[in-house]
Amino acid sequence: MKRTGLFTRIIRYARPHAHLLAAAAVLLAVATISDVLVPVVIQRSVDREILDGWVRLRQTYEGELRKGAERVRSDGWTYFREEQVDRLSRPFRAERTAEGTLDLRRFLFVDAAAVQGSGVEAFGSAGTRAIVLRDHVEALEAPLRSRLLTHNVSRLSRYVLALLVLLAAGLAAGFGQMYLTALAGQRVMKDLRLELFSHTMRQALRFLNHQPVGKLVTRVTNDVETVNELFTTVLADLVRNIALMVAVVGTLFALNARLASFVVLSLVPVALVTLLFRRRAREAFRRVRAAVSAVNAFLSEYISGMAIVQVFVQQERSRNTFDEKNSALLKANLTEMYVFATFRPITEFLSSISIAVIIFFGARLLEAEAVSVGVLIAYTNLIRRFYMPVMRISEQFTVLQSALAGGERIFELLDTRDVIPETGNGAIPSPAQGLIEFDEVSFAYRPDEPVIRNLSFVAEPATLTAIVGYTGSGKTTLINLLTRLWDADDGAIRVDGVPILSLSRRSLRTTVQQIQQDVFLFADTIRANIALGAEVPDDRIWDACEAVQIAEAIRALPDGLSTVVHEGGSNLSAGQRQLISFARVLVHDPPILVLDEATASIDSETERLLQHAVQTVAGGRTTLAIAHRLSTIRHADQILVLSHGEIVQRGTHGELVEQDGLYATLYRLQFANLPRDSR
Amino acid sequence: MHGAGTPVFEHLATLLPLLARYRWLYVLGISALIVTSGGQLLIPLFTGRAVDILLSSDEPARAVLPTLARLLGVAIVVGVSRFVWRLGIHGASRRIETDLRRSLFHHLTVLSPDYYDDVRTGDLMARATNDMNAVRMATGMAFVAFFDGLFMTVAILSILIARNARLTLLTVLPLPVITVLIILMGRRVRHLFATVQEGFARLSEQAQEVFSGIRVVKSFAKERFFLRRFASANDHYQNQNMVLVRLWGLFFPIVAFLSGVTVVILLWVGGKAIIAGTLTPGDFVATLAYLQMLIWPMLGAGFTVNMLQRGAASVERINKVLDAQPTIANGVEPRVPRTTTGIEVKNLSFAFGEATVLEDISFSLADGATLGIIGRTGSGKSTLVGTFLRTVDPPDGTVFVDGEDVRRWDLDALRHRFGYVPQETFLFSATIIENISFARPDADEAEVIAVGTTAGIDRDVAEFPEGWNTLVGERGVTLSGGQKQRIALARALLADPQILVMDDSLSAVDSETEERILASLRKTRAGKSTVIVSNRVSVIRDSDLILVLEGGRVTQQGRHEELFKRPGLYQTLARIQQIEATERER
Repeated sequence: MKRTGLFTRIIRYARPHAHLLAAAAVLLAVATISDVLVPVVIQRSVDREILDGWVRLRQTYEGELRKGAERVRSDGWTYFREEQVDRLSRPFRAERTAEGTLDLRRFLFVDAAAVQGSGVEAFGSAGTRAIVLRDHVEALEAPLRSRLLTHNVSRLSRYVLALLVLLAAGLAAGFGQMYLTALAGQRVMKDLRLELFSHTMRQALRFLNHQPVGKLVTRVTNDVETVNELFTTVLADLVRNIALMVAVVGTLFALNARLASFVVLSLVPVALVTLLFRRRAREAFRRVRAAVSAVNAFLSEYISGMAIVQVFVQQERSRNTFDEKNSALLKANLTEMYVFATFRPITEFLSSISIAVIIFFGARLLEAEAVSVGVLIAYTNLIRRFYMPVMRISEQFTVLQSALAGGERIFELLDTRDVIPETGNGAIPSPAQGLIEFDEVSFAYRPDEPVIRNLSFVAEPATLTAIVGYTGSGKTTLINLLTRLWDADDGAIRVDGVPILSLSRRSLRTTVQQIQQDVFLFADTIRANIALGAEVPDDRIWDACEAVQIAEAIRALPDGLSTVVHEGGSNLSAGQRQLISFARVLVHDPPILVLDEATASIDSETERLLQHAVQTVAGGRTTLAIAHRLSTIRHADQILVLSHGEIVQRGTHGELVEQDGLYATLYRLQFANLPRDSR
Repeated sequence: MHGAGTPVFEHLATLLPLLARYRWLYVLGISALIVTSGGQLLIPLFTGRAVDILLSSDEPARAVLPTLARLLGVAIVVGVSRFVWRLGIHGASRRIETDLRRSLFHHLTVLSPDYYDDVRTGDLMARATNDMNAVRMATGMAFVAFFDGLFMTVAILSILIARNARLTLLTVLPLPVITVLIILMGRRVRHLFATVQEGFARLSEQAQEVFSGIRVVKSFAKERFFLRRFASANDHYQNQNMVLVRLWGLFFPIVAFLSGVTVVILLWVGGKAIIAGTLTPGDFVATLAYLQMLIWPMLGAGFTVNMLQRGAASVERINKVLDAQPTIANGVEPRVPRTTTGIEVKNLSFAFGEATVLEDISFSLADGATLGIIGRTGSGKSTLVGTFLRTVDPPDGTVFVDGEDVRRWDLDALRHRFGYVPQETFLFSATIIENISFARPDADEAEVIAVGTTAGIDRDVAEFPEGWNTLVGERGVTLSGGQKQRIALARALLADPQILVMDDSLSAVDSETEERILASLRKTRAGKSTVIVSNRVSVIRDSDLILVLEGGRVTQQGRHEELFKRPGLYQTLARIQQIEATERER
């Protein structure tokens, strides 16, 4: 998958939350502006109020001043701010100073009333303010100085206020931006997770059976988390850093295009280093990830299997294997550390070099009078601000990369479509009878390897059909075709005369329900495991439990029906778990029951309970059973003997035993394992 | 939750031996760190001087060169020292993490089975991963933040105070607030983060469950219900995340705000002072520059406290495992008897806490004989066989193997004498060959195939695409319970043990295969002892000695022929199966 395509695909999920992101962008702009403005305001307040100072030039030369520079005219002089002196060329400055038309002494505008009696000489006046020499003011005692400079102090207080407002705005906008970006990211993740979960759940079993559960879980959880990084780092940090960088570069060019091109040129080695770093970092990162998962997989496996390790006295060997993996992890970690430990110092060093280069070329330009000192000072400050985002951007690329890799895995799963198609929306006419018909049904998992061949049979309502045969004879497949975990290639399967392909999947599955060999119980209460989300009153659950004789055992549990089934079902025996799954079927009361009996032998008493339960559950409904138990077979209304996907014999137990066919052989093999003396 | 003070340092103190092991790395790293910090303070000084030269000199380009050379010199030193401190401190913390993880696993291999009954795998995994990370932070980044912060704070404060003490004290006022804020927020954030993790775990669990039980979900057409359930956990998780964001999102803006406030104070107080002539502009500019530099050390101080607290909590959790003592271990002078004389049990009683599991059991099994143990679920069968190889510790003088009390045996030698097939099969995610040759990795393929055939797994293996090299477990083929049991049997057989113990380990094997396995066992195990636990009469029928266990007591013992005639549980069990047999005859 192409990275760019991937990116736009992830962004597509953000579209519904565009309003959030737009608001976040506005707040980001506000926060960034307040960030950039704070030093500007400080600079202004220092230059204009705290270190206020004006020089003067004869009005005739006023044209030499920069356009728009602040100026005050008085007595034929033009007063302008000291910082503007740099803008005048050196020869001009030297000549005018010599001729007395440029006066570089520093003047101040002070309160005219306060000058009276202060002993300070007034050089002129502008409105209500008198023009005095700063040196004269500085010679005064503090209280008097403050009185003279009340204007500066009150203007300073305005700057301080403005600064506080800016900081507060930055605080609010910064938080707001972070919150909204996180909210958008969280919502995108929520949507993605839900879509992934429901998409995965919808896939056909033939697909899911071949996927490790852990892998699917990782897609839905961890991989989605990495995509979140895109929102929190890329959309917030990266955008902000790029914006800052562009702003700084813009300022640099505005100040001096020639110096700015030096700065931009100095980016070339940084870019090269970053490129090299990215490749090595990715490689190192991959190695660390592989080593971490190797160590973790080993640990979790050996912790679970420690009893086996100890019983077989393999502690020493497992320690050695662990040490190897652990050392490999250390090595990978150290390699990654070297990569990062080289990158940061090198880029920092490059930034120092470019400062030195800028100062040197700046000095040359200064000699050539092509740049002012003020601009140079601004440059040395700005370069630091320029390199900060550059370094952060290059470090964020690694995060970006792993986020994109996570996205790639997610979309790979989302692009998998292996769904049993919804071919109809019909329903079985109510009340359902439970008539099953297989009509010339064929099926193959792989072409040329038919598993079911031209198979036909009818199961009458409320009868028990037992299916027997060797492993691989197609017993399980037959059931999977009826429940539409797979679709038959040929022929038709009908329930109550309706082809199952024209039924909605839901209608089919509520009609035909299955009890599996390996019972699966959710880590939830027994009640929830029986009801599976349906609204079922407790007495109906109890009735079902009584019917399969598990009620007593459940009552003996501390929390009764509310007992939570342990992970792996360790607080219930295998037999009890099986009985609970029978109760589950009774509560859902399907007209057709499909039973895949367990081969596992349980102790004889549980076995009897199970047999009883099967009879209870099968009573009154059509039952199709893959049978391993004598009682099931004996009570069957018909037995189908399967071999290589075909029915080779059919009839009742009594009939089949008489024939010297496959059934008789199977029967001897499977049920002959009884005490010799009792034969 | 850990407060400040002793407990944090008490727990961290247990790391001292590890810290001492890498002391030179730390010395190197911390020295380099201080050089780096010092150098960083110098660089703005040089740029400042360069600017001064530009202002005053007539030939600025030449005059500025020596200063620039010095600037680059310092930059090189800083670059190198920056690399070195990372190598030293991060290198040390990575090594400590590795060593600690190694000790943890080594200790886990020593702990007895009962330890694992009470501890969940996930819990131990968390210690080996999350807690290790916390220790690494405490022994790495915390050091960096602490020493860097300390050096910078001391250096900058002394420069500032030397220039203007009153102004410094006034302006740095909001800075410690940052430190306190981090410590307080850190605590709350950690708590919220734990809730978020929990929510994440709940989501994973649900996904795990639904994907594992997908057959049930599909066959009962319950997709919508489970989707709704997942959606609500999903919403909940998002909300928990946003609660965390609400707090965490405030953090950096508040830090920026507080550091801005110090500048505002400086601007107002310092500005007025300059106007009034009580402060020089130079002091003002320097204070402004250095104040910005103080922010990171203040952040660092807060982070250090958090990292140390977290690290201490993690060290405590790790130590809890490391301090656990194995309940089953070698005695003072472990013995290894040379002769093989069988198993003898004398008046063995055993209890888990209050619950009596075994009561006054006595029997003796000759070397080479077969022992069958039958009884209902929970009658104590597994516990009894556990005492033979001391996965369960019997009292002194009750269980003897080859004439020696198992408690005086050398534990490894004792277990070498056994081959054990557990009730709950555990296979490693490795190939079938690797699983079978687990106890003897050097075994050649022919031997593996031979025991595989005895265990009756050969026909199944023939159908696997990769044969004996088929990978089992999540990443490989999914085996049926019966297949797993037979591989586990082959694993136990490979060492050709003196005593084979099968703890109800053919329960998932179909009857035909079971019969075949028992027959080939009889052949290959001639002259060696076999202990078979089962609840099926058919499996133990041929044993030389059969024990019938009921509620932890041996109610009957003898051979099948004798027991079958006497009334009792054995006869009942046999009769139940007889009914089935006669049903068949009809």
